[in-house]
This record gives sequence, C-alpha cells and structure tokens, in this order.
Amino acid sequence: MSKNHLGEFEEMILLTTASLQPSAYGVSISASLKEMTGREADMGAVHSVLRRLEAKGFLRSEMGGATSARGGRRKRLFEVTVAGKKILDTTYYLRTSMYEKIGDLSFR
Amino acid sequence: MIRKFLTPDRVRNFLKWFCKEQYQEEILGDLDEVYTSLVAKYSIEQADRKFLRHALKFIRFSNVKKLKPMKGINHTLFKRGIKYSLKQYKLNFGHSMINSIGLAIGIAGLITLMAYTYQQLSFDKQYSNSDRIFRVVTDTKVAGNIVPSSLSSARLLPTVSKSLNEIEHAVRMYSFPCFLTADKLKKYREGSFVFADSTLVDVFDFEFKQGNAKTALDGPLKVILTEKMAVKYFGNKSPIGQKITFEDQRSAFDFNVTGVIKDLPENTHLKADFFASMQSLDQIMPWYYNWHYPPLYSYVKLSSSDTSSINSSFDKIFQEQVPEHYRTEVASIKFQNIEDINLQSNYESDWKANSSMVYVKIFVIVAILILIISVVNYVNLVVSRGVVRAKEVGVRKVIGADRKQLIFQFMTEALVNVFIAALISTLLIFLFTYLFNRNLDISLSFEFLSIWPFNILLIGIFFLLVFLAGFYPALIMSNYRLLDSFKQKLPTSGSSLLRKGLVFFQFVISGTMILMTLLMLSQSRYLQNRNLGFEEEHLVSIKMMDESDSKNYEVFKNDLLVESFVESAAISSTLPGKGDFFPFDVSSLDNQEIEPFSMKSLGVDEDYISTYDIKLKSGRDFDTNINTDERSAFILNKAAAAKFGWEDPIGKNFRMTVYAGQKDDREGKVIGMVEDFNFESLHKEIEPIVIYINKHRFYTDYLTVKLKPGGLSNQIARLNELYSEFNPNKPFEFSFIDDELDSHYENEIKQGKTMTIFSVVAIVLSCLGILGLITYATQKKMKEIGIRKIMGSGRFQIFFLFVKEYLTLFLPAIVVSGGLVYFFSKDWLSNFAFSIDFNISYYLVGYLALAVITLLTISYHTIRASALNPVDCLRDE
Repeated sequence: MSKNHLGEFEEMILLTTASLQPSAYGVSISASLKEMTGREADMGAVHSVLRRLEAKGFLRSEMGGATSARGGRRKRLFEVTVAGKKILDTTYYLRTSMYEKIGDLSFR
Repeated sequence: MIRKFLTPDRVRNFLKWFCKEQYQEEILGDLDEVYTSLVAKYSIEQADRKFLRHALKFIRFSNVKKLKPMKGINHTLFKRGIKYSLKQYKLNFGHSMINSIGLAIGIAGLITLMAYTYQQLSFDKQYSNSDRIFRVVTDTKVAGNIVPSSLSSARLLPTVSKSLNEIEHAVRMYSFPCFLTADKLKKYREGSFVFADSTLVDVFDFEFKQGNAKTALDGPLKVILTEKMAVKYFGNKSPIGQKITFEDQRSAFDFNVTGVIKDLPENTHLKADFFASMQSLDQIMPWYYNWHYPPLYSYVKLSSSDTSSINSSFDKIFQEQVPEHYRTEVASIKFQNIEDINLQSNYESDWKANSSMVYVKIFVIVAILILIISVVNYVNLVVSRGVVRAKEVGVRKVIGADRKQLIFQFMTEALVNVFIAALISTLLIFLFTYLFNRNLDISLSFEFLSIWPFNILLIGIFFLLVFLAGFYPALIMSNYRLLDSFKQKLPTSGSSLLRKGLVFFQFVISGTMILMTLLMLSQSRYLQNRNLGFEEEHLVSIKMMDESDSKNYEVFKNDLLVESFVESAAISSTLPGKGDFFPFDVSSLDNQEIEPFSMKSLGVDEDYISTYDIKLKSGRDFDTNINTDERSAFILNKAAAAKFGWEDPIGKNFRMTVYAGQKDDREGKVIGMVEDFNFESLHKEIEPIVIYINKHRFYTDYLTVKLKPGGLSNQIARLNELYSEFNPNKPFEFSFIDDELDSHYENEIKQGKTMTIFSVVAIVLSCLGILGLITYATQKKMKEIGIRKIMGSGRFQIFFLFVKEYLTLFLPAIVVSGGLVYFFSKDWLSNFAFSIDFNISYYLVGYLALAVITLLTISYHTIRASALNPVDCLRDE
C-alpha cells in the first residue's frame, strides 16, 4: 500500500478526529464514531489506527488535558496535519466526482 | 473463576508490564475514563466485564514492549545464539534432519496417543449426570454356564422401578434392524433403529435440533432421527411431521417424525440413528412384553452415583415382584455405570465392540517409551557430534567464552532443534492420525489440545524436551579441556556407562515391542486362520429378507443349484459367529436321572453338514430319503455328547422342546456326532450344541451357498440376479462366512495393526540411536583402529571389535525384555480360549530380526572404519 492510501476505517477515524479538534483523543473519537456511524469500535483498534495515521503523517499529537476520571493521566490529543487535510480533500473530491458520473439509475 | 482472577487492578498491572512506556499513559488513561463512565451506567460486575473486554483489545503486537535484556541472559547473545544454531543446522543438514525427525516422531506419537487415550476415557461422559446413569445387566444361566449379558428382560424395569425410590428415571431400548423408506422408492436397510420408552430423554439428554423432547416419543408410531438421517431421507425438507415407512420381515408401518437430534458422537457406547416410541412395539410385535424373549437394553438414572443402596433394595423387590420362572433363569442382575462400558465391560451383545483398559494402558506406556527413546537418541546424536564440534568449543574458549555461555549456546541449539521437531511433528500427527483412523475405524479429534490442562501440559512437555535434550550435551561438551578439544582427544570415562545404559535400554524397548507385535499379529492371524471344524472358505450366505422368502426358500435353493458354480446350498436358522443359537430344553429319555437342561441349537436342512463340511465323527448325516429325519433325528457335537456323559451317543433316545409359533415337543434318536466346531467366537470354549432339521419359516433365515472356486465377483452378481428374480421387493443381502467370523476378532486385528505401526516407529528410532552411537564409537576409536591395523589385525577382526561391544549389551537386554514379554504374553493370551503357543521360536525370530537390523545399522560405519588407512588417523600424533 502506498503511503498515501487511506483505508476505510482510517478515513473514518481521520474525519472524526478533524471534527472533534481540538479535543480529539481515544475515548472521544470512539464515542463520536459510535454516535455517528453506530459502529462499535473498540479502544484498542482506535488507538492503533491513530498511531498508524500519525506514522503516515496525517495526524500529529501532544499530551495534555489530565482529568480525575483518568486517574490524573494525560490524554494524547490528536490534530489533523496539512497532509491529513489534503488527503481528506482528495478522497472527498474523488468520491464526489465519481458519484456525479452515475446516471439516472432506476431500480426495480 | 477467571473473571474473579482478572480484576481491573490486575489487568492494569498487566498492561503496564506489557505495553511500551510511551503508550502506557494514554492507554491506561483512556481505559480508566471508559471505566468511570461504565461504573456510572452499570453494576460493578458488568462494568468489570466490559472493562476487561476493552482492555484485552490492547493486547496487540504493536503495543508490545521491546524485550529488555533479562537478568543473566544477554539479549543480543540470545539472538546470535539462535542465528548460529540455524547456521549449524543448515551446515549439517542431513544429520540435523535425522535428529529432528527422530524427536518429531516421539512428539507426534505422544500427541496422537494422547488424543486416542483422551477419546477412550471420554466415553459416555457427555450425558449430564453420566455418573448416575446405569445399565441393568443380567448374568443368565445358559446350558449350565453363566453368560454375562448386557441385555435384560423387557418386563423387568416396568415391574420393579416403581417400588425403587433410588430410580429417578428408567428407559428400555430395543435395537431392531429393519427397512426404512420415506418416498417408497428408495428403501434402505437400517441397523441402528431403536425402540425406546418416552423417558429416553430424561436419562440421556440428547440435543434436540427440532421437535419437542418432552413429547417426541410419547405415543405409538413416533420416531426421532439424527441430523444425518434427516438429510438422508428428507434432504433439505424439514422432517418434522413427515412419514417414514418401517418394514420388517412381516409387516409395514408408517411412523411420524417428531424430532431431530444431533448425531450421536463417536465416544458413546450407544449406536442409534433412529429412536422410535416403545408403544409402537405393541402393534409391531405385541408379544414382546414378556419375561424371556426378546431381551433388551435397560437403563436407569439413579438418585446417587453409589449403587450400594439400590443393590440391597433391588434384591428384595426382585424376590417379591418377579415371577419365579424368570428368577431361576437369572444368576444375578447388576447395575453397570455407563462410563465403564467402553473400557471395562465384557458383556455379550453390546451395541458396539468395546475397547479395553488394557489397551489404553499399553498405548500410554508405548507413547511414553517412544518419547523417551527419541529424547535419548537426540542426546546421543548431539554428543556424538561433539567430536566434530570439539574444535569449535576450543575456539570459543580461546576467544573467552566461559562455561555458562557454552551451556547457554547448546541449550539455544536444543531450543531451535526442538522447535523444528515440533513443526515436523505437526505433519507427522496428520500421518499418524490417518493411520490410526484407518486401522481402528475411529475418528480422532484434537479438540482436547485447546482444553486447559492439556495445553499447559503440552507447553510443559516442550520445555522439558528442550531441557532434557540440551542439558546433558551442554554439560558434557562445555567440559572439554581446552587442549584436548584441539587434539580431538575426548573424555571417555563417566559418560560411557550412561551411554551404554541408554543403548541397553533401547534394546530392551525395541526387543519388547518387536515381540509384542509378533504376539498380537500371530494371535490375530491364528484367530482368522484357525481350523474351525468346518470349511469357511467359499461360503456365501444370503439372508432371507421377508416371510415369503423364508416360506419359499426351497424354490430359490433349487434355482441356485441349477447354476454350474454352485456346489451345494443349505438353509439354517443362524450363521456361525452370529449368535442366536436358541437354547432349548433337551433331555435324555433313557436316563431319567439327568434333569432336562437347555442346550444351544441350530435348525438346518439336510444339506447343512455337507455344505459346511463339518466332520462326522460317528453315525450318519441327515438324509432326505429317511422321512423320520425331519422330526426325530438329532446330531450332537462332541461337547454335547460329553455333557450327557455319552461315549457314543448314536441311537440314544432324545427329547427336545422347540418353539416355532407354539411349543413343539420332538422325540427321537441321536443319529450322529460331529467333531466340535467353532460356531461362536474363539474367545470362548466350544459349547454343546444340537443340530436338527427345522424348516419352519421362523428358522429359515439364511441360505448358505457353497461356491466353486474362481470368478467370485461374477458369481455374486449372478446370485444377486437370481435373488431379484425370486424376490423383486427386497434388496439382496449377503455376507461371506469368514468375514462374519472375523468380525469377532476386529478388536484384536485392530490392536495388532496399531501395535505394528508403533513397533516400526520404535525400531526406526532405535536404529537412529544406534547409528548415532556407532558414529561416535568409530570416531573415538580411530587411533586404536590405526594402531591395531599396523599391528596386523584384519578387517574382520576390527569389525568384530565393534560388534562385540553391542553384543555385550544386546544379550542382557534380550534377557530382560524376554522376561517382560513372557509375563505380558501369558496374561494377554489368557483372554482367549484358543490361543497360539507363544514359545521360544517366536523369541528367537524376534530377537534375530532385531540383531540383523542392528548389524545392518552399524555396518556402514564399522566397515568404513575397518577399511581405514592407518596413516590418516595417526599422522597428527
């Protein structure tokens, strides 16, 4: 897979992160994902996708925002990078342009 | 229990230990946040459970901490050690492969036999409360002997169970071979059609796929069937509510399908594909409900697994409520736990041939022995390689390796080798399982490997193997003195005794295995080939399928006799090896002092004795020209004459009470005496039997045809053709008499075959071991050989030098193994009434074979060593 490829689940996570900025981290992302798509993503999977996206350069992260509910531990807060925004745009345009090519489909 | 162990705190600590430091904070933080919200929403237990599910998902490869160098073990050294071991492995690929395969055979043998043992021990434990389910078994008095039978009277349970508080549920089962059809077009013969009381499901909790378990067998003409049969008869249609037509020799009935159950597993003693309601028997065989015939299987579920209370109360009720005529037939009635049936039962007419605890024990011992041999071999081969690797050890020491590091290196090599062996063994397991399944007609499953104690055991065995295989060679080789290792002068003392012990041990094991195989094979061959007192070859029996067949068999017989390939044909009530030699009351009319007693009987026509070629000892055969033969002539076997105390029974006045629809007293004379012939299994002594003419349709069940030799398949095809002309409505069913008899020895034949597989394995392993040792011995003795050659010794003398060394181990080893085999064979052969004489010649053959194999194994290296040029090995002194 090329570095620029975005898997379906990766795309979902990236979009969610962008929408939750600046308070996007593991728990909030997985909760919002469930709210919006109804799919139950477990934390382990979300974490590893986030890490993968960071390695690809679509996300960057910093620690911060400790709460008592977390036992005083900091969160890893994620932010979409320019490259991340770019790939979201590319995917969006690709999808839309392909969608517009669909003629008038009638289903029986 | 596991949940209780995995508290959130423990899980957190585990993740802390498991995950990379840089991820720990976020992972634990997120988890805690989730947990806090879970606690607010659910109960503590539920929250804990959900927390655990989330936490487990973090166990992934990307989160694992990098291995830190452990205390005492250098991480890079370990990595390099593995690399180096693989290099060594490749360098001596042939040698290493022999080594791994040897070990792999041991592991595969162990696991396969574990699977077999596990299956054998798991019999009938799948029913809930199986420890409380008992079979009622009867010791019946037959012709003066006590016959242990797994069957009991049809009236017994209904009579006594109400008065016995210990019995929670009781069920009777009656196996009834019949024809079934669902669409009237395809008709199948089914051997596992069973009538059972509606309480069946209370005793055995079969899993119902369709239908209501409670009511499925309540009422006449209802049947439940297994999934396999549902597909066979109804395809994809739902069978519930469908009709299935049942046919026996006399009548046909439509059964309503009321349920579908899961197929019965392999590890149950029951053999059934259909359970029909017992009430149907009231229509099919209304006379079945009596004390004597037919006996059937009775099972009870007791309130406790202890039978002492039921045994005492049963005796009382039995005396009070059971009529005397039945009580006098019965020696005793016992309750047999179903879990014991497969391994500890030797009752007659069981559902399937049972296995035996003895075999399970033998196989376990064999498995462990094979594992031991293979580990011993591994050690020997590695140590013998040591000669070559001595220099390497020396160089390592010069560079600065201390002893600990050397041991570590050899242990790492053992780890790599055992790992490769484990991989190879998975392939071998497939092979072994295939051989096992084919020979023993079972299907082994390896599910047990995922069950808790076994996977731990397996991992334990793996590391034990690494330790065993690595530690001794490591110890020996790290101990080489620096200078000696360069000169390839190896320490000789100390370990040589151990090595000799190992060879001795291997000789004992392989000698014992060879002889045990020889014993089992010869006995099973003897059972198959023994002169039975009649000629079982070329005999084919055709079953008379229905009433009209039985009535008109003579028409068919005459049709057959016209054919040129048919030598003769005779009708009989049953076949040798089949059982069903109905015992009837017989008495002597000359000597009233002999009380009438029951004796097994065989109803035949006039051609029977000549067709089977049973030897007449005195008197004459039945004769069609003598009219009185049909009702008043009897032929006894020798055992029967002896039972009456008659030296010469010819002309004695004899009476026998036959049942054929009604009571039929026959009086007449004994006209002949035949030699004892084996009409039952060779496990038993030959019993007394009376042969008489009986052409009543109840007794004309099998037509035995003696064929002329040659063209068997054409002959059978022709017989089939003739039969379908005679009776177009029923399938042609035939069997070879010798097959019929062999089925009794199925177990012995199977065990013999299995033993062969394992003794071949043991012998191969022993050869590998001896090969390793001879390599070592020849290398160690190079210089000695050189000097001897210079002094003028010839090739043969040098060859003998090595042989002598093995001979001194071989001779005591066969004495020990001979002793073991002697006791085992005596014990084992006592299971048979007719057995081979396992005499000294068997031992000679077995040990000679072992000696030859050993000689062949050592000959390559010794011959090469004896042809050595002394210069080559002495020049560096």
